[in-house]
Amino acid sequence: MLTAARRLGIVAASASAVMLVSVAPAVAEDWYGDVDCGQSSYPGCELGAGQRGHDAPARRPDPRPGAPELQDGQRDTQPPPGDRIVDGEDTRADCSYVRSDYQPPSDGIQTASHSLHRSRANGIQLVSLTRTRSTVSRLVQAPGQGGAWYVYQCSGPGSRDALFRAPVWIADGQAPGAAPVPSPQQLAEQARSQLRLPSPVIASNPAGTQLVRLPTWLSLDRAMWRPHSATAAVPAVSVTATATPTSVSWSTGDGTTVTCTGPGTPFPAGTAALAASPDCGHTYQRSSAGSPGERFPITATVSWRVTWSGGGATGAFPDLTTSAAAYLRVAEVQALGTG
Amino acid sequence: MWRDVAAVAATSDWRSPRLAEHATGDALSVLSRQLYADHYNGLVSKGAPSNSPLAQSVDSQYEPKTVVITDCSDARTWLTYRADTGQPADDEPGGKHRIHAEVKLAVDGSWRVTRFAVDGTGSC
Repeated sequence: MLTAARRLGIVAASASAVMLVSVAPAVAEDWYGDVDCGQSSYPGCELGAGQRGHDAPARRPDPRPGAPELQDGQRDTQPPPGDRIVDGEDTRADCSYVRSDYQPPSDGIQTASHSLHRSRANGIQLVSLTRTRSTVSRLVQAPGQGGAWYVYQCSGPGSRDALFRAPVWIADGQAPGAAPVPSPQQLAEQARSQLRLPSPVIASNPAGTQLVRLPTWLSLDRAMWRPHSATAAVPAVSVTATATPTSVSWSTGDGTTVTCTGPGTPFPAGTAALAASPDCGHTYQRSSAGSPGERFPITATVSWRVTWSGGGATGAFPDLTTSAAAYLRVAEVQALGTG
Repeated sequence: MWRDVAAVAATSDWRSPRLAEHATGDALSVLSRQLYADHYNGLVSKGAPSNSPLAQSVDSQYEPKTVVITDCSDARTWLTYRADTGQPADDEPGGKHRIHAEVKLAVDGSWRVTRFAVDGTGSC
């Protein structure tokens, strides 16, 4: 969360910080840090905005454009010039939202304003309240409007906020003019890109050198042979992509390809050498003696069927594959048929 | 107002009515929401800032209802800590912040902060 902007801040404050450190070794961000208009944008930051340099540090990314509707809709639609960066790099930040139990303060107090009707009477009467319900009404959700307050966390290139930021009001179904909610398909793409599929781990069966004309058991570490999922969500819509292993294609290095529908069976200790794998095996007919390094290169390529569901829709993506490579030494049984 | 915030931030009690004693409108909203975030993140603050506010402008010399204040607040003694361990929330130092605030006359005759803007560490 140490942004470039904050680094600059630290440099600027280092002279005083040095003195502080010598007195109190424990230093922490001061409370103002999270309401710093150089880092975040809130109604009020327009005050003194003109005195902030144009090269002021980039603001903290606002929540994903359109996703949250700040309660102060008026200022949102008419931001003072220079008050926020709309197309800045930071808007690429990816924010995730968590519904909170925040409730806005229920009371505030109406203030006087010269822009309201002006009474000519006396100093006490100078407040002419044409609106008896105060501006505080902006702080609570409009009657009948569904929605909730969400705290959120953002990640940008190379960084992720450890802390949640102050809650924002997000209306159910989003506000008019807001960016559309991503479609389930778009979320599915995002979820798919977040899938982390394990590389297969080739087990050696039986351990060590294989023998010509005796069954070789082909198997993968079974722990990876299970569905893997990833979820992408925005408030109210969540889509999960799931990759399920369907088959593994073994290139055995002697010109043969064996396809199996499961991870294969590990060679059980004590099994007779003539026993073949019940589900995934190969029997070498020649030794690897003539191959580079006197061994066969073998690869196992796992195919994953990728489906997604969420947001009232389902779909499928093209298969993904993961693979692993190893070498296998295959020897003739020299003793057979002699003496 | 900042004395109220410092008192409330000691426990991050975002529901505290004290927040509304000298703040209203946008200012109250920002304080309340940020203290909720502190509470949510398990953070509290210790100490208090020092302030040196100056009136910068006033809407009417005769019947002032809006005053804009600038302040240079020293928050090196108002830092954020983890509520559970008492450890500093991070290794960033506190500092001095330029603050602009709009203060308005309320219907009950009191003055309330309606909006404020805090600038970064070292801005004054």
